[in-house]
Amino acid sequence: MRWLNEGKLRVSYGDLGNQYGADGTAYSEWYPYQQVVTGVSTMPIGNVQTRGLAQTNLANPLLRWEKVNMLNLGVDFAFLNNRLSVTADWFNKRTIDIQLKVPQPDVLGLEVPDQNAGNVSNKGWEISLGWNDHIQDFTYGLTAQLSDVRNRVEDLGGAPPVLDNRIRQVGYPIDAFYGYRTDGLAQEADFTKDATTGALTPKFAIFDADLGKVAPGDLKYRDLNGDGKITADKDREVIGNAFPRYTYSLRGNMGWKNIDFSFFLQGVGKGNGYVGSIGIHTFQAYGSYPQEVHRDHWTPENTDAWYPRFTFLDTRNTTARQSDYWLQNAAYLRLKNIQIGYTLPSRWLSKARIQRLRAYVSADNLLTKTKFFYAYDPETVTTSGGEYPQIKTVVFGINVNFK
Amino acid sequence: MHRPYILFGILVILASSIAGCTKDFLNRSALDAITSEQFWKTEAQLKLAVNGCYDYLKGKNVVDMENLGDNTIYPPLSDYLNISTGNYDFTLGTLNSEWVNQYKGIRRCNHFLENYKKAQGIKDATMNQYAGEVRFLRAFLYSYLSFFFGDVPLVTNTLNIGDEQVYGPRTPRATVVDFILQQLDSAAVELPVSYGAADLGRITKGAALGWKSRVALFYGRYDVAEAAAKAVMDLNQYQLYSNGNTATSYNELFTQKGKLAGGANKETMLARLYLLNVSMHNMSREAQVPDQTARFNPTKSLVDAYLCTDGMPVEKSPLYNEAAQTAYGDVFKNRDPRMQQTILTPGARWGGKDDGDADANPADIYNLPKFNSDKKGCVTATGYYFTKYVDIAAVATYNKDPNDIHIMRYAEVLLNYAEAREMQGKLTQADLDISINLLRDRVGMHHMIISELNNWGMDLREEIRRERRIELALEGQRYFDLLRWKKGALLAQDVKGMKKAFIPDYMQPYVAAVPVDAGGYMIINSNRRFADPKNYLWPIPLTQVQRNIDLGQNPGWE
Repeated sequence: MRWLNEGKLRVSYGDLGNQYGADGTAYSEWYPYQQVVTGVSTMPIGNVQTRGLAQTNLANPLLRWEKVNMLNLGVDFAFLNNRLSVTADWFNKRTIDIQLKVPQPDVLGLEVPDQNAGNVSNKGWEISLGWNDHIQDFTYGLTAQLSDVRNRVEDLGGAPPVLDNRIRQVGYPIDAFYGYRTDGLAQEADFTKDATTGALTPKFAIFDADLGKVAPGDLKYRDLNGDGKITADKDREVIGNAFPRYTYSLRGNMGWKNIDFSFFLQGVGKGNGYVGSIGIHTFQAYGSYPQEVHRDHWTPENTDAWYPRFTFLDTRNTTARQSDYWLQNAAYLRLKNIQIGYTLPSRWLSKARIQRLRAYVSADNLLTKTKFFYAYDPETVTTSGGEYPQIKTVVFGINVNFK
Repeated sequence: MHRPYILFGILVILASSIAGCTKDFLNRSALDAITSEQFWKTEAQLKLAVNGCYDYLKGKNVVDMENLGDNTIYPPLSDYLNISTGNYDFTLGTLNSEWVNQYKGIRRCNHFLENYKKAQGIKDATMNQYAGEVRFLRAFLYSYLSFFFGDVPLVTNTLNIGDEQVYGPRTPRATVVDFILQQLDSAAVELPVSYGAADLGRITKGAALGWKSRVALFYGRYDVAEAAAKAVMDLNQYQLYSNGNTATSYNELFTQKGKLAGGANKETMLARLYLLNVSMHNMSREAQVPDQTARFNPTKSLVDAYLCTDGMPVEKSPLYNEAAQTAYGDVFKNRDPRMQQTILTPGARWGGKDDGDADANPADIYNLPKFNSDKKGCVTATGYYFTKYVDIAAVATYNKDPNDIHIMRYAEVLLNYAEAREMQGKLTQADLDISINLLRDRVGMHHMIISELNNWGMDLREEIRRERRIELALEGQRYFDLLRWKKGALLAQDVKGMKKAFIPDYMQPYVAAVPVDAGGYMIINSNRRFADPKNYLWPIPLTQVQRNIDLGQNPGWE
């Protein structure tokens, strides 16, 4: 076949053991299978520093490795004199007996151990297209890649779901964002005003605990079950997924005579993130200072504000009450690297006993297009601030090879 | 030629080492900890296990719980304030942390009580003492659980994942209380009356009996409370702390001079001990923090509760004429001497730096309340500050206060006795003279005399309750007293401070936004509510309900 230069069909299957839990770290205890007593702090007895011994963690003598089995189907093709290459993969990675700390009712009285409690699957595919060619002196190549993974909790070993700001529930991605739905900021029209006292009564459902505190400029939480009030047990649902979907990249290189040029674009098509605490809020805690963006907070004159009204030491409107209002869109496109170089003709250099001299300019993270909260990196999807950001660098360089 | 032999040799070594692996090869014993099999053998181990249980004896947290009641307020949001206002729900963090912490302590105690008898060759008296200490601590933890939540799962053995009891329902409150009282009886038998210096701070027989009187009083078992209190009195082990000076004795008890380690304090029966550079808290600083708002601000309600020196309340006494008052200091005149030993009075020493006088210079003597937050002195929300539990030297430091936290004092036992007698209709003047009037003698206060109260049209029960409030102010008991007296409605009232007109003109701009009531007193906190029966119990925390649906929910919180 003249049009086909290469054709390959790949099938692989592997069964592996893994001692790193779902959170990617090894055991938090050194001997998770063994009941031990360890030193604990206590009250000074007899007017001297006193230590005690106690069991603090429950042991799990049945703890085993996680098993990972992975099925991969793939094809590699090269067409048109190897100018076009295509690689496609489909995989199904199943982690069985995954090590999780399954929360227990706290009457148990100890920290719970890791348990082999459940299965998680990662199904996905990956396509890569490459094109390499030249037009006389001009050589160029492009490689595009697109992949997607879907993470799903298949089984929790019969344990009840963990319902916190990140949930573990069968049928959802592991540690999906869980929280309230919102309907934007409350306006004065959302309240009825008592003609005599001037007291405002919200027309929308609120938390029972917030009675008397809700005012225009506060977040309006949505009453999902329609019982007229917002409650933590009945008005929350899965609002986002921390796993990036549709990761893609495009790599290109070109050369003409002594000039070379390359770039690398990467990005995520769909994903969620969460910037919390002092990363995005102000005045909700001591030492939480306003940022430039907080100028756009709700006031009676600025009713279409991004940020709710200012309150002090009050977390009712913040990410402490996790809601879709603060959910970040973590999709992005980033020019990860771009480089241009010039190699001096060798005839100019031979007298200096130089084999090759290339001067170049290279830049990392030059451009990022994203709707993620301004100061933070969409590659770090959850943060409370305090992360060192991705830095933009521009490098001017010379490579010299001596003879 | 040699190569095959080397290969063969390696194979032999490998094969023999694999064969040498027994099944236990991978199950190594912990090298950094003691395994359960090695434990519960020696007296030293038992003692260390007992010591571990003391970690759950409440400390400074006891004083913080005063914020649940109506004696003090710290206006910025705090969980205790939220509970006090009634504006909270089952997501509140404190609910769950109290639940989790008490059960952690209970587990530790259960673990001990299940295993300590495995140790051999230890004297009976020692074994009994250890068991009594742990039994008391478990009962102590269950007391708070039942005070807070009512019915709670009664777990008296160690649980494991998979045990049915982990997902069990709650035990009725009365059953839990029976268990607590019975355990305290056992502990009282097992425990010694006192210890040598090396065991200072351990639970005593008196503590077990005294705690029993508090729990019995809470649940209206007055005969039990009376008998337990009387048993403490008959031990002749305790006496009210005094330095001979009625003007300072009461206050001094809550300073480092009253530390149990000093030896002068024969009044405190149960305390969380603190030790400089080892275990410290932040109480003194929080009361008079020199660059922020005090975390404890006495309320008008507390200030008004102090009797006048003639034994009459401010509404009746000729020594007190509210209408004629012209200055802040007038409020403090002719009052129960405990007032100025509890609430900072003009002319007293303090650690709060600049007060509310005209200048902005630090002062050792307090004169006027400060409302402007300029970081130069301690700001008050209500116009009042505490001096009780304040060690002036510790105000300037952060988290370096080594003062003991007094969980139970002999004074309380005397109050328990008087109250339990009165509730049964048995209270006599002689009873008052061996209880409440001892408290009044310490501070040089007019005696409580039943005939006098009758003549003045004062209610004996109310006066006994007032005495308790005054004597135990800032000791974390007020909220629990209000609950058992069914006085929750008091928590629904606005929290007020001083009369605004007494604030000097230069300070007025800083209180301009604070509303006042009809009498001109500042309203610090409003929009409060207390529903009966809902607010007499805390809701079962969301986290626990989600993990075990069979816990159910308390009335009004569903």
